[in-house]
Amino acid sequence: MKTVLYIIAFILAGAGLQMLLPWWSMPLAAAVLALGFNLKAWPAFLGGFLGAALLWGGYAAYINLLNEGIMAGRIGNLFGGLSATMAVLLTAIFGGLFGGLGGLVGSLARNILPLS
Amino acid sequence: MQFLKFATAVVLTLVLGYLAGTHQPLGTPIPALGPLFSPFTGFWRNAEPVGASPDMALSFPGLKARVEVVFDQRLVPHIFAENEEDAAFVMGYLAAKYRLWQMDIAIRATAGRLAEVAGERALERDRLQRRKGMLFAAENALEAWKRNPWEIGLIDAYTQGANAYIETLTPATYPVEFKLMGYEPEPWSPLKSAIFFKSMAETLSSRYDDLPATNARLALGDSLFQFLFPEYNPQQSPVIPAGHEWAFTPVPLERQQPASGEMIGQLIPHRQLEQPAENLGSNNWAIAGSKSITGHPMLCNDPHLKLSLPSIWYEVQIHTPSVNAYGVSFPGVPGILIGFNENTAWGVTNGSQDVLDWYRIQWANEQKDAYYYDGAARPADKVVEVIKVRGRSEPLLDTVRYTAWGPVVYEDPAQPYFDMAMRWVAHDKPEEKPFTEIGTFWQLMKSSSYDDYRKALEGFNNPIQNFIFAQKDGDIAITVNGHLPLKRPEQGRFVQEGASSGNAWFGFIPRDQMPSVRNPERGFVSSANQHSTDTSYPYYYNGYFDDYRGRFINRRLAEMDKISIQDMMGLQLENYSLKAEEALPLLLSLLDPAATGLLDRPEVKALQQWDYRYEKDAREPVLFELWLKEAHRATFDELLALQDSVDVLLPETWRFLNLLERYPAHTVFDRQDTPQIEKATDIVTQALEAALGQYDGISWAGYKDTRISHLANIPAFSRLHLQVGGSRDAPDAISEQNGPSWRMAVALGDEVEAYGVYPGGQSGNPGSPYYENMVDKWLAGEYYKLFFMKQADDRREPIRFTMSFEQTPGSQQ
Repeated sequence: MKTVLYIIAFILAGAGLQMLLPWWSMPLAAAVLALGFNLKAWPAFLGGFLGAALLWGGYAAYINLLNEGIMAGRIGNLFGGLSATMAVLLTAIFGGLFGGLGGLVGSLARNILPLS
Repeated sequence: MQFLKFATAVVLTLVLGYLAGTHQPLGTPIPALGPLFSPFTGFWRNAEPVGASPDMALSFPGLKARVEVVFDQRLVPHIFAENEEDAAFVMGYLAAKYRLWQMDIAIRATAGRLAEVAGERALERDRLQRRKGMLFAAENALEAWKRNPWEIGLIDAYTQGANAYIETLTPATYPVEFKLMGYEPEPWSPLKSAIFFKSMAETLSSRYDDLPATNARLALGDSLFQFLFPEYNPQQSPVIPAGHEWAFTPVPLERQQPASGEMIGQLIPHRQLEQPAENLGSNNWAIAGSKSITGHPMLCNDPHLKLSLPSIWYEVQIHTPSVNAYGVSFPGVPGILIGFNENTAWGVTNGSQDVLDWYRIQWANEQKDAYYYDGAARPADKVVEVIKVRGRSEPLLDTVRYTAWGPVVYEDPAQPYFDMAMRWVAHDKPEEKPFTEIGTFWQLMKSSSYDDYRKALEGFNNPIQNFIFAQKDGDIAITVNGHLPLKRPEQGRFVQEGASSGNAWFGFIPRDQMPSVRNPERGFVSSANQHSTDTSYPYYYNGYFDDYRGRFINRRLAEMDKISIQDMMGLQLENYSLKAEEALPLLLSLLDPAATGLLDRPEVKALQQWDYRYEKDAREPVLFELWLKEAHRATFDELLALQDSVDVLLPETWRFLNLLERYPAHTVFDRQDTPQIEKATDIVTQALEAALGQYDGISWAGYKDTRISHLANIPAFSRLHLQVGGSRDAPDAISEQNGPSWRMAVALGDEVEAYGVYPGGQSGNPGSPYYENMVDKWLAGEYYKLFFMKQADDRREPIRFTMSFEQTPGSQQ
């Protein structure tokens, strides 16, 4: 349950922050929230991964739908002949990786910070 | 242990984050993937929703009054403004909104600023652009624009409009190419408009073959050279109909004889610089009411330029109380270059004259500080070019020397005392006059009569263009217009000695003596980059003229009668080649009668039945082109052998065919690598055998492999391997990378009826449905009926959306 709340909070914070700040604000948010939610390493990584993948992948999929795959098709082609759908998937995994890593860092920080 | 885990995770995150956040990390060509893939900042932000097109209301302090822009179904803006400057402001705004990266990269490529964003690989190109003095040329043009308040007013308004858009951008909304290449847009400026204009001068008027011609003449001797390279094709059908009376007294040339040592007496080791494509050309024609089915004139134009995405053209209608014109513009320059209004239509093709000559510079010292000129050492002006190179901490400093002739472009460290300077019309400061090139097009946009047309042309110097014109009630005209150097015969055909001012041009042909014709008896005017005149024209000029398209178009126009606008479009799409019509029967007639095996080959039998049309699925054009190429190569083997060491000119196709027909036993046909003496028959027969050996049955479209490349050559943003016919020698001159970049056909009359299409789309954004939406129609040879709106609320055709531009309240100037 805690992890689910973490994911929801992360998606909301990640979306808000990235409206204003560069992309790396997303792993930063994952780390801070993982620390705040006091998550263990695996839930933090998986939760961060899932949250970021949903946020980036979901947003990309929505844009792709409205754009009828024009841009994703071209960029997919540029990156080794991927389809538009694969470009959405790649975006989700790419975001997920950094969300997950951010979550992991936040979780591991618990063990070395005096406040825990 | 806990700390080690934490540290490992942090380091891993930071390293991956650094790699994903850095452009071209660790020397790879990969862009910064983090910001690029982020749907908040990256390429996803350039993915435009299909079908959504909300009306927009904007306001800017730079405007004088309200401007209404109506976008039609193809995203063509119809700009309704209260004055010309506001129209120019909105043109600038829209150019930036739809074509900003294209504008940026065109400026960088021309002025030599590519290495700043592309790094080392663009450095040599940048150095060459600097040595060619492209910026120097643009600065001189801008200086002239500034002298005329009307003209600079338009440029300034255009710049303000472009910058009004650029200022709204954030890294998330940059055009996608900036994201991929990892750099930022810059503000626009009047100088950049001038640079863009000079990029066209470079494309259209910087061809030369002085070096290979000098070498060919030295290698062959003057008499054989003149035999192989005559300057005028007697079969040509010139722009001004043969037999035209020249009603003026020509300017006498005070120095008919060359100054001593005019020409260079040694082979030139320098290589030709990269040249604009040989088959850049265009067609235009206008027919009188007497030949048209409507009784009113009609006008067509299709400029053949390098096909690119985004396209070189941006379609637009401009409506103010003084102007109501429709046509195509360059993103980067205010105004319509090819188009029409309610009364007139106009267009251009390239004049193709040689307006760039080379002079050998003799340095007075090894430092190349001074050069000999009229018997004295004269100091060279040194300009230190500062070239920023991405990845280097310090810019590269490169000294370019300017002489009385122009910049020293060829600098050879192995030749401490001799280099070559470029004399090019596009470098010149325009003389004092009421307006220049920008003004010319605005005057044409406003024109309603022949006199308006003639007056408009006065502003235009370079590149020399065949300006065609039609007026709805009768007049048709064509004028070879621009600064054409006044030369003595053969001057500038070869590299000239630069130590004497006596070798300079004699000025320019007076504008009212430039070739021009109004309402010729034959009922039409036309041009297709062929010779401007027959040999009766009292001045010498040389150039790079096309031999076949113009002759074919004139033949067809003479035959045609009661011409409809559909007939006009049909002629633009004609892929019949006069070259093939003349060459193929000749080649077949020269085949060795003993080689009956060849004639029995099914490919050769098919070729004998060929209709000379370059259809996309046809096989015959492939075999024919291979055959002609092989025969040409085998004939001029002597010259080709020289090309390993120096650049040497090769005879033109028309002259080659002429030699086959009239001098089949000439020694030029003898091959150097065989003991026997070959004649034309042997060469032609062997060439067919060689061509059949290479011919694999591929279709013409497959062989030609036409492509429309993205300006950064990104294949995913290009249209490749296009199934399309046409040939550089046919009116529909689609070759591998060049072709009709805009096809326009206008029927003037009480209501203008106009058609057009270009191989691209109005948006330069690869994520837009309007990026290349017109390509398929262009490939299929179809046109759009152009929506020439009467007023802003004209809804005879459906529109997509509107954009209104208000003056920001309280900003009254």
